[in-house]
Amino acid sequence: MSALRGSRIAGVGGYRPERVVANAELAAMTSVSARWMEERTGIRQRHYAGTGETVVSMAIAAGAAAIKAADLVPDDVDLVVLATSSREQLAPAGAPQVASGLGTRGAAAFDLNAVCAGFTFGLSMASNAVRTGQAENVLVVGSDKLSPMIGPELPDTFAIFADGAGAAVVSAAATEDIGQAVWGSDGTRAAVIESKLRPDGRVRATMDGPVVYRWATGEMPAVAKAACARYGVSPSDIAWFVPHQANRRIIDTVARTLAIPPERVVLDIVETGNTSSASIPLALTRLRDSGRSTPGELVLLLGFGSGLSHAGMVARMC
Amino acid sequence: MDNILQVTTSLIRDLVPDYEGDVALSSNFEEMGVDSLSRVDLVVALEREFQVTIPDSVLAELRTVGDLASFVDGARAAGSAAQ
Repeated sequence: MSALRGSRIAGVGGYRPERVVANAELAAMTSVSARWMEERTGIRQRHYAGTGETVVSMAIAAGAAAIKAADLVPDDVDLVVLATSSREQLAPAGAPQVASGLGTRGAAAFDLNAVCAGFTFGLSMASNAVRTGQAENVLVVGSDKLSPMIGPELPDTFAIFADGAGAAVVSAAATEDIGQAVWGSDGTRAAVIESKLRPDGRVRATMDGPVVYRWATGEMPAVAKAACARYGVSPSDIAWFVPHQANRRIIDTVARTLAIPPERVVLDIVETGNTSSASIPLALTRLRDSGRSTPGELVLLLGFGSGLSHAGMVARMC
Repeated sequence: MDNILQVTTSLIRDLVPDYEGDVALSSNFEEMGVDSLSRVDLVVALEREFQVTIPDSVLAELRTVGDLASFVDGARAAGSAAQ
């Protein structure tokens, strides 16, 4: 077997629905205040999908932006991975409609469900598909529409979850610009964060916030360090820390444990909320659009959440 | 128990610098501004300080400093007995 080629993130793009929902609008429907929401989560506003907007339509918008940013056309994409846990229907998978909607020439396409860690799981699989020659250009999209699963009777998830999509194109490279993932799961804690159909016929997302906070702040720093070690670097070498935008308190605590200074932590959650699988590529898009990053800089990506599942890796910024 | 209260008080001063009132076993976390996530920070720090384990199931039950101190004291006693 010949040596594997490298892979890289060639472009990123995002889609944030037009409707902006501030904490005050939600607080008016609940027993908690807008200040409570911001203090517990760091979130000031989030975006909700409009009528007719779906996981697939948001994924197409984000995917088109990422393909353009990679200086490619849809025909160049031969594999589409859609990370989501909030499809409006169970079958078929959404990825084939994303591939067709973008105008690819019948690209292979499938959905992946690792919930909030879905994007980093997808990025790892995309990288390996490119490195082995199974694919040339892979579009990885995280798209979630969580607003239908939340309500004022559950302030913990009502304050946090939102809608959006983010995408990255993975292409071949001479060097290994996407590191191997450090990943894992713990199904014994499946009930900690879940969305399921309730007897009243509605799907509702629930979360045991303190337990999630303890798990994420206690265990994710070691995953981040292992991901750095797997790429041959340490957290002090990282230019940008881009964790899942779960909750600002989690992000701040994990960054502090890793001794990554606040100015190197990418925060999209303040204005976008927690968009599950979309949050990391949306944060990468915000970083790129801010002009603060330079291509080739090291980014530490850390996906974690419902499952429980996690996947972290180091990559180079596009 | 006095030692646990002393350490807990010091941690609460760090976690909620704006709270200037007394900290006693009867003090209520919410009233002191120690929200549910700060309570986790407190639990983790006490676990480290006293070499005990406080299970996830306890987190939701902690209302007062006394609730937490009792768990730490009990876990510490159980640990000593096991040795």
